[in-house]
Amino acid sequence: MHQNQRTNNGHGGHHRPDILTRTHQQVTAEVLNRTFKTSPTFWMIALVLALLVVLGVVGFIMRLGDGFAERLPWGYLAAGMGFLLTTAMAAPVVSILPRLVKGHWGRPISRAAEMWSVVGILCTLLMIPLLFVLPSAEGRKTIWFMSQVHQNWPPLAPWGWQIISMAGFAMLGLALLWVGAIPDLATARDRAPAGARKGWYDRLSIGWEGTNAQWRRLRAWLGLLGGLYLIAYVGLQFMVSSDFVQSFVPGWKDSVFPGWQAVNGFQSGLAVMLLTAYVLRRWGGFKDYIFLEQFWAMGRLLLPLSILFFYFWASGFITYWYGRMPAEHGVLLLTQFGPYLGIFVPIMFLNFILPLGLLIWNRIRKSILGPTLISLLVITGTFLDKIRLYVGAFSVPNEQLKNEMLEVIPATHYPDIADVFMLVGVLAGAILLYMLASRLFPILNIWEQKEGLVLQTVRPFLKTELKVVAKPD
Amino acid sequence: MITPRIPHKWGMVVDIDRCTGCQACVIACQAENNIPINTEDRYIQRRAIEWIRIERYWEGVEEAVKTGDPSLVKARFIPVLCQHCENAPCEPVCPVYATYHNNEGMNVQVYNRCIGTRYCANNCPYQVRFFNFFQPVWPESLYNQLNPHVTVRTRGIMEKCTFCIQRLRKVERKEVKEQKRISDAEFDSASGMYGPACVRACPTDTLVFGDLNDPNGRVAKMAKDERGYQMFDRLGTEPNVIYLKKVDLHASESAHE
Amino acid sequence: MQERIPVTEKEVNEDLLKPVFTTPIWWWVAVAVMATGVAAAAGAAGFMFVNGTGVEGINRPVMWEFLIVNFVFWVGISHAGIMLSAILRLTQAEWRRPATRAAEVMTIFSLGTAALHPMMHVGRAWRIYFEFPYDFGRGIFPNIRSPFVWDPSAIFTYLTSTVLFVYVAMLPDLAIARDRSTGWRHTMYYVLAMNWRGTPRQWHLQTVAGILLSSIILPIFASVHSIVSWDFGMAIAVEGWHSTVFAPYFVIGAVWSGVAGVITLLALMRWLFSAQKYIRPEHFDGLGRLLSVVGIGWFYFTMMEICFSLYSLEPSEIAFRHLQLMEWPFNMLFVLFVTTGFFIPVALFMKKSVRRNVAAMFWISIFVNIGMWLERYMIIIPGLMRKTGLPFSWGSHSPSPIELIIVTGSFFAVALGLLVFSKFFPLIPLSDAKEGEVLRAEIQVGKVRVPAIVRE
Repeated sequence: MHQNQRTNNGHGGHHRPDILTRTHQQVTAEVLNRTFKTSPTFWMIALVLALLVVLGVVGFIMRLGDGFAERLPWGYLAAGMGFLLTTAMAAPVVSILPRLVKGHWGRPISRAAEMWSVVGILCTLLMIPLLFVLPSAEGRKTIWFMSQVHQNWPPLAPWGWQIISMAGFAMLGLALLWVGAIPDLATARDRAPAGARKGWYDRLSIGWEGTNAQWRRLRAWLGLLGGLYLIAYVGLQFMVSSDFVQSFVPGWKDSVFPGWQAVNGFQSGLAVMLLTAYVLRRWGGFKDYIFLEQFWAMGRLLLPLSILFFYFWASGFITYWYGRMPAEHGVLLLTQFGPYLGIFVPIMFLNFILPLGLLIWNRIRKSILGPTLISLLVITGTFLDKIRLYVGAFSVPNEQLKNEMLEVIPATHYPDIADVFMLVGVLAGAILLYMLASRLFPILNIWEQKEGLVLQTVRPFLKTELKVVAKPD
Repeated sequence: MITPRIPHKWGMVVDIDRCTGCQACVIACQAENNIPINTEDRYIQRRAIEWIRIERYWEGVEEAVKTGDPSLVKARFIPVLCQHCENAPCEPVCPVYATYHNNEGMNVQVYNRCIGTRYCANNCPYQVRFFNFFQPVWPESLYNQLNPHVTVRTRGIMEKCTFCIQRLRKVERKEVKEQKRISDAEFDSASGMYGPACVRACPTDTLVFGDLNDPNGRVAKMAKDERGYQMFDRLGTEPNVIYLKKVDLHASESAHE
Repeated sequence: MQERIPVTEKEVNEDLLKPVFTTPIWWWVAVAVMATGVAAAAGAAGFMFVNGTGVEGINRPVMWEFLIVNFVFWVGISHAGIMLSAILRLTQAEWRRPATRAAEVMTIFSLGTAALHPMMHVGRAWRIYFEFPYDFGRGIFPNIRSPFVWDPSAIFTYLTSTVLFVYVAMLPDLAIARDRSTGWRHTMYYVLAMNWRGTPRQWHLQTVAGILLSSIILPIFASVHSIVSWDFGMAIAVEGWHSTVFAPYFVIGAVWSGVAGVITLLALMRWLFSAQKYIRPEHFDGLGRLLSVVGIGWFYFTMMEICFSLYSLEPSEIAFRHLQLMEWPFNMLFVLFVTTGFFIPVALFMKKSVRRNVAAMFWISIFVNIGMWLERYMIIIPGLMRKTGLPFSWGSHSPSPIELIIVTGSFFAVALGLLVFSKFFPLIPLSDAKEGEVLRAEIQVGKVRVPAIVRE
């Protein structure tokens, strides 16, 4: 009680548009209320999404008719997987990073960010059919180069390791979400009306009582899981983008490519979170929790990440272009200047030129709508980029796999109706999973929010009043 | 009125099957192009300058050791000189345009411009660019034998094979005067007067020089031989020196694949 | 953060200007030693100019060696200044404050030293101006396709902007020095301080200039080491050089070694200038935390580079990696490089007690830079020794005394520059220290008082 008064006394309790003016009790009640009660609109949207998922399944069954002998028909499904991996699966980073650097702006959106890791389930499912078109590592240029020296070493490469890492990564994400939510689940357990829901909360909160030892353990686990998630994300991008894209194109030996994909992931994950934060603020009823501060902070990060996107691309491009070796020339022709030029140019605009040109202006960067709209551009660009890379790589026929270089540049592969169905289903499935998870986990991080209330205050400074934030060790 | 010049694309064919590794070409080049004398310590320091060199490889050593039959060991020779690449990696990296591609398909070095960054030497896959680590000196008695048609290089600059451009300039002057393409025989090692020093010195006709633009020329014809290949063609440098593969009667079937 | 002692502005002025206005004996001794080292290096370079580049250990496949390794190393060190000043200024990290000026000045001197290396290294150093679009009488513009033309452009742009950056940030300090000095020093500070009076307008302009310079300098910062990396990355003929990852790899490696260099410098300043009040364990803690992330990132790129060179199992790549990783002495150097450059520092940076121990941080930071020097060595020399698929021309390399003297001298040169600079200008920014004091606050949380910072 004493704490709350201290928090608010700096500005006399009157409403400020840039700072949380709720007491601890109000935060708990409001957030839990939104978790326990579900509006009919929500169910309507969920139903529509479920129908779209069914459409996706139909598309998948249509595709099954083509069999797994040819890789090309599966290009768009792979692009869908790559897209989810590069966007939704990277979103939890927006929660991990501020925690790592003790930035306060991450508090209201940390749960929303971690919750995107539920999409890992869908990613893992999507990878299963793709494993069937993934050729053996033997004889082709691949990150499993040891299998050419010692027959099939490590065993099960590439298939086993791909699926194990993908599933492991999805589990890691869910663990991060769960561990970070334990205090809130305990709160929900205490507040939920008796019933199945209460039982679930009881089981998930594994006896959390908020003792000092428990808090210390929680923080240690959160730090560990967060660090692991970051490293695992970069590692998974290395495996998936190398094995499902790079090694299908003979002569493509690009050491910056996995790093570029990871950077693109951080950029798009941030964009996803900007969009999520906007939706939560506009339609989710969290107008008094998510402020300009969050959008500004993320906009400020989106700008350098968009520049990094270009930088990593340029680093690979200039080396290949300057080298002028036939093998490298073939790779550039396939992915950039040949059949996919038509989407390569828009990608550069959507992921680099437009974000840079717009976010560089203070007025756009320090606004709510500006970064949100730019995040839409970035997500679109990333979607096109995955199509360019995955479909482009999948269109190299099997006979060419063992060549030194790409001898014939394959033509553009356009999606058919099954591909469109599947892509729609993939996107709808990801959003549906997220919406369902928000019925179980409070979408706003209650405990971090309360911690923020304790650690900040408003004090007079020279002629104005400014926010003061504490930085505990 | 300017007399038109006949467009050339100079090239060379190296028939490895004929090479005996006698090194006559190396000596001829040395004498023709005012290359300082490569003493023993120059070789030990790995600073010898050889615009053309004979690379010698031993093949079959392992089998010979295994079977105890020394006749299995074979010496292989590859004469390596500047490949005069159409797409030369050494050219774009020179900051001062000391090396560039001329309109006769040759990669030429301009000594006056060179400041000796040695970047071109690093970026040459064939290792045929040489650096003057010190001021080149000759024994006093040898200064009078220096070729007056060839620059004596100073220290701190790069140099490399020029296809004996001083001789080719003579050819071109003659062509302009006579207004007809010079006969291919003029470059012949046996009868010709104008071929590069190495070609004229080659006793086995391994090195054949000529104009790749001349469809009836010997070089253009030999370049189309089924044994022909360009060294390191995966790098895409498009050399104007074409090698002809060695024919090995004793090679096993699998080696031909 | 309990070790923070509140200081008044008067104390800040007196403490931080003391090294400028008083000259202890050790300073003269240090300058004498450093100057001797620099003179030896200059003598060695002169010997090289007179006799030819052959007095170095270079030979046919290994056309570049220690001087280029050292060049890359010093360019790397120079990246810390902007990393700390610009990025941390933009992200408002509080623990940057005492380190900024030292880091920026180190940038200037190390970059200047670095730029000398390739100039000395060319065969005809007296013709080095051919690289610049200067001698129009020749009618030839430099070849802008060559990374060696990108290099000087990037380095001199970086040098100019860093000098500007240091100068703008130093204006308020110069004014204080002006007001406290007499004689020729007063005249010098009077001219340099450009009539700084500390009016609100002047402060506003200075802040805006600082932020603008920070954001303009960042692309230059990234470009410099990217371009240095492209000196190698553009070369298709050398195995292990033509790697697409080089630009970000070199930049993050530069940050890794440069920030370690700043730690070395900060520890020395803390001891030599008795600046315990201003350079506190919390600053080492912040730098250590930053470095542990940078170190892991850098290691990721190292792994990528090695992994993708084995990716296609080409014989020439294998030959190069075999030399680099398996053959004496490179296997020993590689192990040394990985342990000193990654495992020891990152493992130790994870521990908070180590991060807050100044002596430990000093030695670790030296370890990092031993590793990073070796890293450049491991990229440049073995690559050239096993250049292409013509084993007949594979080579070896051993350095000559001349280049060892020059390499050692470069360390003396940077140290000498910093020593002399510290005699004229304060190495710890006075205005930044005061600003930090003003923005400092505390919040009562339960029973403890937690340090806090006023935020916009």
